[in-house]
Amino acid sequence: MSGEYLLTQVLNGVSLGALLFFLAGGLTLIFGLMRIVNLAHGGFYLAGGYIGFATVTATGNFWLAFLAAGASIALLGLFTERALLRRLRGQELPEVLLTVGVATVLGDLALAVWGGDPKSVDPPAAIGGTLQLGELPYPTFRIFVVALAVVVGLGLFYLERRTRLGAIVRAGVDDRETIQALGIDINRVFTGVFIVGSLLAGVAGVIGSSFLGLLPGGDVEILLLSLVVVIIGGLGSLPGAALGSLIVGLVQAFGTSELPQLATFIIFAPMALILILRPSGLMGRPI
Amino acid sequence: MTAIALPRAVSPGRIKIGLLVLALLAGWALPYVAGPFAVATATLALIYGLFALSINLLAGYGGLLSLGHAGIFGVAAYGVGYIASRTEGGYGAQLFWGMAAGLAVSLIFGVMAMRTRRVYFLMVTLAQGMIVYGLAQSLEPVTGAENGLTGVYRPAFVLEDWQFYYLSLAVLAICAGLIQVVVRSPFGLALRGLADSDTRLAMTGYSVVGHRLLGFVLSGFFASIAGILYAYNNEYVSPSVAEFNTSAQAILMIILGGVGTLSGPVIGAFVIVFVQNVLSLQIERWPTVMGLIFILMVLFARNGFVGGVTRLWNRYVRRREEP
Amino acid sequence: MTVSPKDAVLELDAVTVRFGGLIAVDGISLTVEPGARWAVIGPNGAGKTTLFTTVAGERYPTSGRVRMFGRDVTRTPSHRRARRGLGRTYQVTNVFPRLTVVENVAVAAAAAAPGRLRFWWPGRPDGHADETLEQCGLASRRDHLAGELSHGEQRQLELAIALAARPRLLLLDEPAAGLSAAERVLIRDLVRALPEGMSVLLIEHDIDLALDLVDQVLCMDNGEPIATGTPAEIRANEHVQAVYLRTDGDGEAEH
Repeated sequence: MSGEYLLTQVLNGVSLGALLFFLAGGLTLIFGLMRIVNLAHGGFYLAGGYIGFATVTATGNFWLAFLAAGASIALLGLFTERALLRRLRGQELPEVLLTVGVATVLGDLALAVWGGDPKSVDPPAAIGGTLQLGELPYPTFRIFVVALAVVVGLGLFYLERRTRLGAIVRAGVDDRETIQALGIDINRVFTGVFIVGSLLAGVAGVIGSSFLGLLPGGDVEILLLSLVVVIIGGLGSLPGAALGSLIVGLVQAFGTSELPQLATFIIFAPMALILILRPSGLMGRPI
Repeated sequence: MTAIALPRAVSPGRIKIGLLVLALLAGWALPYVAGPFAVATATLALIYGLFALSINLLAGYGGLLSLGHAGIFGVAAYGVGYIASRTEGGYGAQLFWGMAAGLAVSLIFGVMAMRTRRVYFLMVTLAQGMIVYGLAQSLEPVTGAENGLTGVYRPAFVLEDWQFYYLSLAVLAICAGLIQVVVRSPFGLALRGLADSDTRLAMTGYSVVGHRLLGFVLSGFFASIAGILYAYNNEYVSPSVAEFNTSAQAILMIILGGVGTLSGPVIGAFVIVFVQNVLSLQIERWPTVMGLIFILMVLFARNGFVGGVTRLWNRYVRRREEP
Repeated sequence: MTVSPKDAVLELDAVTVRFGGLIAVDGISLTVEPGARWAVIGPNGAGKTTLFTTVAGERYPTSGRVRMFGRDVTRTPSHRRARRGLGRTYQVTNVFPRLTVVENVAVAAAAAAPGRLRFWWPGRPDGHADETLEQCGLASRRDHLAGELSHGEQRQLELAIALAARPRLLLLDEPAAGLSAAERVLIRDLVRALPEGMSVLLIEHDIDLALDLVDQVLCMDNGEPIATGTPAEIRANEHVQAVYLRTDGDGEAEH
């Protein structure tokens, strides 16, 4: 195994982890606060990617794609939370099942509109091309995604730990009654967090579209990886999501290149271990 | 409380038995009165009905909703398919390895999920099911990847569709009876207790983890039977058997028919399979329709068909009893 | 009275439970003899419920030992303790709401019998389940869903479930919580009528009710033991009086 190969795989793993963090971060926040496992998250990702693709096709502007995908998926999140999930508040299983329905509809509509052929978006010149890392040329876009994930991760972490809103969210995770006794409308906090998570998923879709390509079924695949991240990291924990993303990204990168036929299975192994040894995840609170 | 209760016309137990006899009669008569399309569709409904019953054993009684049972269903089908297409194994070997694969996977999944509950259980099982699907797609030497496994043939005595229909009907009836026995056994009682309060159950002397595991494996046993039936009915196994959609549809059948009832999931299966097979001829977007039914059922009718009818019946009886 | 460790039903040796930096239970030692009736009293937050969960095996102590029926059970899960003869009721009603009353009791009775994992033969509530219901005054509610019972009846059912498994040591966590005066009398009589050989450890917020039911008392404050003795000694103990005066007027729940 050459050093160059090793470095490439590590970089692939870290950048895949960065993409996963956009999804897992939102998934874990929504779970932590609302106790909802949003299975439509993969659908949000795919829809965001296709909207980004359509925007680039129409305007040629990649940054506009980010904006369009983020905004429309945030709106979709607003609708899902306000019009659907709110009616089932506190009923865990129906809540999850509802998101299954939303995911099914989204996946099928995407297939209807954009068809079954793979679609992809090229990043703009500024972050396209390759970067020389010593001897090794590496796609600039992937480096950009890692940097963006770090910035977003730190931003989320700051929001959660250092701001009043974050304090409300954290208190809401522990004790909803207290929040309501303080005169804070918990429903608005829920909606806000759900929108943030959806927005990140939409943006991740655009990133993923130039990184993995868009394909029907891609929603399920990315959802699986994000779920494994959240299970490994611990439900509701942002640092856990970051750590989990890194682990899953690296395992997946080495797995797909070394044993492509068993790639999904290799992801399974760390998850199985975690579940048996530490069911609440690496950084999650005990269940 | 009323001092004098009016005698009921017929006891609910008798009505249930009457309905059961009626359903079996209708099941027996179907091939005589309906065309080949209806018989083939009904066969599929019976197989999915059994699959839905297996999920319901765990979800409706034990309170543990598995989103990954299509993985077990699929592995059993692949077990049959692998022996049939890649080895010289006869029907005995096919059945044995189909069941062995299904049970082994149930055991592994069960061990992984037994320390979790509620939403955690749901997430873990979801990931499990997806992994089987991923393997089905990528593990070419075993599963044939996208090409699937051909070379599965029905045994001679059920070659015709109407014959396979009767086989499926018989298997479903036997399995439904077995599930009823399990639900009424001491284990079944504890399983229902598990859904209500696992702390209390543990404090009463039951191993909660052990009960979850046994429940999972029992449920996986019935899911495997459904998967084996599916493989022979279809005479072809491809990754779509293990798709998340297969699990989601089964859960829709359960919700539609009634969670925690014996007849509900089967009724739900007939509704969904027939609607799907008829609608898919008219419109291309069946998954969207299914997704919408899913959302509407969850929002407005979580008791399902059997739950709704039972409630109406109780209301009717109460009105008669309280003049 | 001195009892050799072999005979004791329950022995706590310097049991300590820490949550992060907080010490909830601090070095509690206690020996419960066969047939003894003990009460654990103390103001809110004294660590009584935490001590109980440690005895029940729902939580393991940070340090110290727990011996039960002559065996070390410090790290034995609760269902194993239950099978050896430990029963417990909960402060917050914890029954099986979607099972009928008799099924609630039958589940517990079956746990003690062989064949609790049997899944191939119908389980029928045996005579013992009905006896227990009779004993706890719930015979008339036999076939109702537990979730439909009144709060008082659910408290009776709490006790019935615990008794159905024929425990040798019974932990009662505020059995009269949230009950009216009349219902309290009922629960008091039920506890009094428990078989003589059964050892009882009781937490009760109502101190008069507690001291009325037991022959030994442990008083805790801030996780520490501050006094042990007969009810009369405890009533007379200045330290105990001081603790209760200090906290007079506290809220109801201990959490």
